[in-house]
Amino acid sequence: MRIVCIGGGPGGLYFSILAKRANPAHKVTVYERNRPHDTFGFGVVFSDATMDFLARQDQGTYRDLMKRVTRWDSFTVIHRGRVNSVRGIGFSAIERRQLLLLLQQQARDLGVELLFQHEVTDPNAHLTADLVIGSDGVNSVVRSALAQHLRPHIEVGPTHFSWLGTDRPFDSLTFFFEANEHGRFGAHVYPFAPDRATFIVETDAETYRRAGAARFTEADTTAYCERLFTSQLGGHRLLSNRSQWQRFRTVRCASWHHENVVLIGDAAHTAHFSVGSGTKMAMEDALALSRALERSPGDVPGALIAFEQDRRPRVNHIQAMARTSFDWWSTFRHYVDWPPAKFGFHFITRSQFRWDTLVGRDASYLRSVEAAAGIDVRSRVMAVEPAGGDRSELVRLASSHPLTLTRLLPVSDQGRITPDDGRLDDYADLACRFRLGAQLSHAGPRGACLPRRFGTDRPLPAAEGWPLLAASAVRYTPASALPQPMNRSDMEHVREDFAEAARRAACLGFRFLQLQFGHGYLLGTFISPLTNRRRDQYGGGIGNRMRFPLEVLQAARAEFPGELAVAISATDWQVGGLTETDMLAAARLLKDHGADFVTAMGGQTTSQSKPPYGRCFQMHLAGKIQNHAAVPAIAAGGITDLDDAKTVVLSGRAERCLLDSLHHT
Amino acid sequence: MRIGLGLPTAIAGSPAGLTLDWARLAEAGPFTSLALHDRLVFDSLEAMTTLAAVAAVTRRVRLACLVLIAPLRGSALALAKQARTIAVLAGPGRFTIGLGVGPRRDDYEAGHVLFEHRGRLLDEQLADLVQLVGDGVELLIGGRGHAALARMVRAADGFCHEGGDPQAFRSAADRARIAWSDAGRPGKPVIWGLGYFALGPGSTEVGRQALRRYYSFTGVHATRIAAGLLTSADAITAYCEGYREAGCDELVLFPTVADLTQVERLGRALQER
Repeated sequence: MRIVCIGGGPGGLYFSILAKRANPAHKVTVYERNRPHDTFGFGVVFSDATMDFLARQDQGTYRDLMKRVTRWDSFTVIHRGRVNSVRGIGFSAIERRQLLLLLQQQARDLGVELLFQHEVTDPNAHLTADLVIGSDGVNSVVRSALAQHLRPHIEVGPTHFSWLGTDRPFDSLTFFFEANEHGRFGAHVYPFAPDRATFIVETDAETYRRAGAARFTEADTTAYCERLFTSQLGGHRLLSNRSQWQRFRTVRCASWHHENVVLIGDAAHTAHFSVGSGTKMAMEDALALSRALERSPGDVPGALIAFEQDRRPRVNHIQAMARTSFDWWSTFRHYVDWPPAKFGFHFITRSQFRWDTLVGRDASYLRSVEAAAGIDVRSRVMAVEPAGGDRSELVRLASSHPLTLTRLLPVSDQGRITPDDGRLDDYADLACRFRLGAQLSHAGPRGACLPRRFGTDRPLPAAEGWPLLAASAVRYTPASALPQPMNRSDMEHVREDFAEAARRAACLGFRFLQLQFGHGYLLGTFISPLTNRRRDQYGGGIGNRMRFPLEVLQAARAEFPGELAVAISATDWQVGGLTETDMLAAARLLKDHGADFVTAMGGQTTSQSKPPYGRCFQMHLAGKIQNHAAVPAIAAGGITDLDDAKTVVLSGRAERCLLDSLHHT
Repeated sequence: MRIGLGLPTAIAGSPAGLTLDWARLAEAGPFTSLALHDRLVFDSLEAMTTLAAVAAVTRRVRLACLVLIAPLRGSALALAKQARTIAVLAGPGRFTIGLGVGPRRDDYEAGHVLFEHRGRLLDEQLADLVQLVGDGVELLIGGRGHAALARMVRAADGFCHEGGDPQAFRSAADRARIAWSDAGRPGKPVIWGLGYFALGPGSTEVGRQALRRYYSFTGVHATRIAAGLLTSADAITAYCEGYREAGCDELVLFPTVADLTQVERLGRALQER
């Protein structure tokens, strides 16, 4: 086979090696526009998991790398001069130039043709090869040439960063946060040798503008950052290497291959450098591609399909993780004034780490987080009566939690989900004996269904059902009955039903009230743009979509003197759903109209929503409501135990959390 | 936690007659279920017809299909009829059917079904199936995506994991339970797990070879899956313990060596626990 790799970075070189090893008869050529010793960027970082993967897949390369890497075992956040250090997070690093020289040498030894200073401007000239690899990085010309087929989407991030280096020795992956007269900066420091580290400075658009950094020369940038980080550099210098300020571009493609051409590495997909996965993904792509080709000899298009199918889920996972992490870096100005321990814990738990995943790595660090917070997290946990549980279960929960919420209780017969739904009055004897909260809802288009032991949203036989209401005539599932769009008189009835239920709840002795305005139930259908198609003053922008829910909230608020929370689906977990801006606006409006808390639930607004279930999978939404909109938040979703509650509360993402009624035994 | 036994229907080159002998032997053993995989483009026995035959030679054990690639099976009515037939032949409360889309494009190409339509097809089938299959058949959903969990909470009784170390199982099982409780389903989902074993002298390499072959479509992961093969009583004990702790309801151990002695060896290994 004749194979052409366009781009001689780690991905392209590694693939050329694997292809040649698999079959020495292949004729493999790598085109690289730079010279062999040129390199941009400083070091490359591999997590322990990546090294383990490599060890299993390619012992030879693993051993060669191990001889050259330096390994670190901790992670440090330095904020306002205070050090938060977490042990047990291992990674290895190597100078990028050394990695390239190693791969070049191996490729040469195997008979790969390496053509340096050879810029490919027209990939079409190479299409006669049997296989063309676009390993030409984030600015891939191969991707551009095939844009029509690969349909790339490039998202430019909101932050500005400059990629520098330093000769100050570091003994840990380190993050600095610093402020000056222009604003706030963060530095990512990735050591790759005892006296060398990559030093990336990142800041928000506003600070960047005030600093006038757009006009900086490379020397200006170095000097500015050296001044900013004087104390952290301890007399050492910052080194530059084409260190212009840039904005991170996240590359996604609808397809990574077309006929005999395939993209790998940054050309196909990028992930913000804060998760340190660029080179790792490129090398994993190379491995997966070479395996796919070995399995389908003589069938290049088939192998490329298999390659993409294999890699997509993993790449999606890393890109999702990177998105959460990048999101943190784009908004850290909200947190920099926090006490250092809380700030550090919030940072560390921004994407992949939680209390339970850190416990085995560094329990003493977690003890310091707890001590600094001085919060008894137990007092912040609210239990929820499990669906289908009996009375004794509720009593057990209520006896061991500071507050326990009932299951969803309909405000009227028409608002029932199933014929088996409970009633506020069922709790008449318990509400005065225990600290209980009532959850009130109107099922809207999700009403008239079979009891949930048979599944969710399975409609009752038509004769047993009742008429359904919604913001607009949108069925919940294709099998659901069609709801009636609410008219003014329906609205008045529903508002009165909520007010009456709130009054009754107060009267029965409930301490807390939560109104369910999410999950595709009646009030939720107004808030989500996916289910509200109204053209009157209750549809359109978020202000209009909130109008009726706010009327209901005010009516209930007037009747209930205790604490009151409103639960919303803070995201639809679906394309075209509620935006973050609208979520924050909705939370502010709810607070302004009398809600003490906003509970960040998510999804279920349509039957197509696909929440990424997992532990604490929605805590970032509570975090935004609490910290970006300044509305006290309650976190919900996948909070399964006290460890999860600690992750959420001690990181400042929510005041309280709703415990998932998840049973292990 | 209950422990089931896999049938040797997907070990390439199994001798004819082995499957039913295997089922009869397992009926007497310590296993609570007999299970099999579904696969079109592979040297394996067809899942539903095999289960019908196994139903005829067993009385006690539960029969489980883990999992059926439903979109390749045509209309929900035809599929429900097959499932009901097996359930009736097997007798009350003895049939578990797992449904999924499967990860293999070649199965779809061979079955003349568009791979891109697999999710929508399963959604449509599922909506009808739950009505048609009736009570008494345990319905599981398999698959690793968000869509699989959405299907499970909508219409099924539980989740079937694809296999892997107990840590991977735990996080998948947690996700399934979180989805279940987020959707307001009462109780908890039934969760099945699976593993592969090969016991006895000389069986390790044969078993690994069989796994590499079966999972060759997973590319770089076939090696990892083969490395996870359970080849000693200790390994089986540790695996079972890990699954039990992670909240597995039924763990099915699948053979990788097509030899009846594997049934006895596994039975002994389980008794040593």
